Amino acid sequence: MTASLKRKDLVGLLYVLPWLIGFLVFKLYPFVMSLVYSFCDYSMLKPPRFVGLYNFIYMFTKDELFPKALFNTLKYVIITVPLKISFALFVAIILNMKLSGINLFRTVYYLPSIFGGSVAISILWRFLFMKEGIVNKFLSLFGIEGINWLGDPKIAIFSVSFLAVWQFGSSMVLFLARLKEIPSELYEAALVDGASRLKMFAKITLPMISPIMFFNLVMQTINAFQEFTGPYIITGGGPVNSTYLLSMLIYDNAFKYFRMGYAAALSWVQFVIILIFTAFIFRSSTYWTYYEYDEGRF
Amino acid sequence: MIKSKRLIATLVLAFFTMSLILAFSLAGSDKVKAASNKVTLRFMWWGGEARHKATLSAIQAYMKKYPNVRINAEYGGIEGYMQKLITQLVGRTAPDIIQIDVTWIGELSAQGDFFADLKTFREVNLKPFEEKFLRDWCYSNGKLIGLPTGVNASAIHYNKDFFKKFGIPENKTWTWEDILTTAEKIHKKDKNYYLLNFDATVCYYLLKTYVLQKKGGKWINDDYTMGFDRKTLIEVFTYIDKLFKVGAIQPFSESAPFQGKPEQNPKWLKGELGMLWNWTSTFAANKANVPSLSMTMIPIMKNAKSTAVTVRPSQLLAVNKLSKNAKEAAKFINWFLNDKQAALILKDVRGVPASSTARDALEKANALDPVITQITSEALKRAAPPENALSQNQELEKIATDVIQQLAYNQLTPVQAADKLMALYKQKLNEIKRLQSR
Repeated sequence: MTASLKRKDLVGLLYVLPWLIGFLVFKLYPFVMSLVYSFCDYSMLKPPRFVGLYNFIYMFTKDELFPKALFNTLKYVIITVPLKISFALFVAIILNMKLSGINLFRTVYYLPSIFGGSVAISILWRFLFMKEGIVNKFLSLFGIEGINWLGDPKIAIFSVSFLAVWQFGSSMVLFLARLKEIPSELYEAALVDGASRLKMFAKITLPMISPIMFFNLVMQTINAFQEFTGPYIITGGGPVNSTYLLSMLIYDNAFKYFRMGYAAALSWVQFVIILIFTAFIFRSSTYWTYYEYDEGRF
Repeated sequence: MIKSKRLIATLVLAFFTMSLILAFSLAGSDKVKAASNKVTLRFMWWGGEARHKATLSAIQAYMKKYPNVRINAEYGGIEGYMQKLITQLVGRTAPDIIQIDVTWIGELSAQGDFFADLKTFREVNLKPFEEKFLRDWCYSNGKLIGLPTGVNASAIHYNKDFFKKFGIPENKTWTWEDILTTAEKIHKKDKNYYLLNFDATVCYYLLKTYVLQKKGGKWINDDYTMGFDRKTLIEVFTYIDKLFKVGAIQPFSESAPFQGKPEQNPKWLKGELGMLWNWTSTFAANKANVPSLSMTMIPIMKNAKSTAVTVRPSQLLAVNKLSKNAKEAAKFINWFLNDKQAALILKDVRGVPASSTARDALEKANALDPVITQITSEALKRAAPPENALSQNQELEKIATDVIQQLAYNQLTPVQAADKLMALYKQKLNEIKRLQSR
């Protein structure tokens, strides 16, 4: 290597330095340290003490709340992800039609995602869904009486899931962008061949948007596994822990009980679970995603 | 090409250097200020609207009186306050003057030495404070961690209109039996009304209080064992179960969205719930929402071994041990708690003042709500000794409130609830013992 090339490297390095420092300090260091702490007792105020695998053994054998939180989290993911994605697709298809004032609707439907899982929206949600809340008042107009959205342990998990489903905007925008790219010749050809609308959707639309479907599935699954704000504020994990998610167990241990080591161990288990699910989706995607430019796939 | 890149690189470098120099010079100018007797203090507290307003105007008054002192207020709600404080203490960036809760002292002192010993400061006058009160609540390892802002007692807040509607005399001395029978009558008369606005946390207070009155001693002993037996526990759970069965407590399935914040329950605000078990320090805030509010003592059983009436400092004001202006901070705390002018600005936003000079000033000005003064002095007469840190442990509270919820949802019988609580407590106490043994 010549000296000038080395200097060029240095300049390049200088350019990426801000990002590099940010990555090292705020991403890599916490990542590594949390793994270290997961093998320790650590209360933040005192130096950590190494305890080997104790935290993990405690989690799987003694912690009453861990299996419950894990089960709730899986339930939450299974409810929200398919609902959110299908709803996003449904709305995207409608918004893809050529109607007057459609741009306004596109904006309006994206709004919930901007408000997102903020605290204010979660509090609003609580008032909407309480026993004497607006949702029940509205339903009673149609003769449906008093569904206990937040007080019934069997229903509460669905009620908090709706908040996530409601924030379908970002998935929808991606779907919409892709839908617009599908060549209209395909539909025209199908129309000439006498295909039904449903058939066109199954044979043209779905395959064409499958890469976006795959991306949305991965992102939404990862997000849903880490959900915290909405359920924490709307139900606080209740009633009877029926909406107590892994993220809340981690939060409580870290910041209420000051058991940082145990919280780190829990986070790592959560991380591995997400990793497994993501890997599974990646693997399975070879069978159901379609890329125009590459017949052989990957 | 390379030349322009080098130019950009030089520019970037220059920018970084400039910002560094700027940062240092700013830090330096702070030092200069300190040298010229200018002091900046940071004061952090939590509270509601009324407390924020009063505290801010007190700070204004102090800065007017001592123009060389600047006080930066850092305030908000209680939610997340302790987490923020711990992070600041660990990161050595905590404010100079810190409002803390007495229940944190045990945990914090076990972990490290964070606060200055206030009895070593000439600036602080301890005479207006009752010595026993300080000894019981404010010391840790012989050090005076903080000074009490007010005297706070657990009490029953009740709605006078509710009492009138059902013909309940206001000057009644309540027993546990009375509560049950009265509540049953009320709910039979009108099934929209419930006597008690209790959530799981309040039921946990009830549980502890009942057991302590029956058995005396401690909820959790210092040697990590339970201070109660199975029989007593079954008795209390049976009592709580009855409260649910007769409609004394609004079903949890209805009040679920307001677990942990019963004072926000719309039914309570509408006046359809009669009693709320809360602190005297929150009375003013609660009264703002329910104007016909008054207070009475909590039930005490006959031949009680302990009254289990908690009277404790509302909060403590402590000085950060790392503070560069500890003396000035102590001086401010002394003014804030003892000075007449401060007392008249702050009134009872932190409960009845613990300092006698402040209290006298308020009494002379008729600025105290007579209900608060009366309940506070009554509670003081019957105050139980302070709880140890273990009895206030958050993990144990979580277990108990979970079991209580399961009881409320009929998932457990009183006997099952007692057995489950004891089994989980035993395991958790072993774990806490392991964590604390070093």
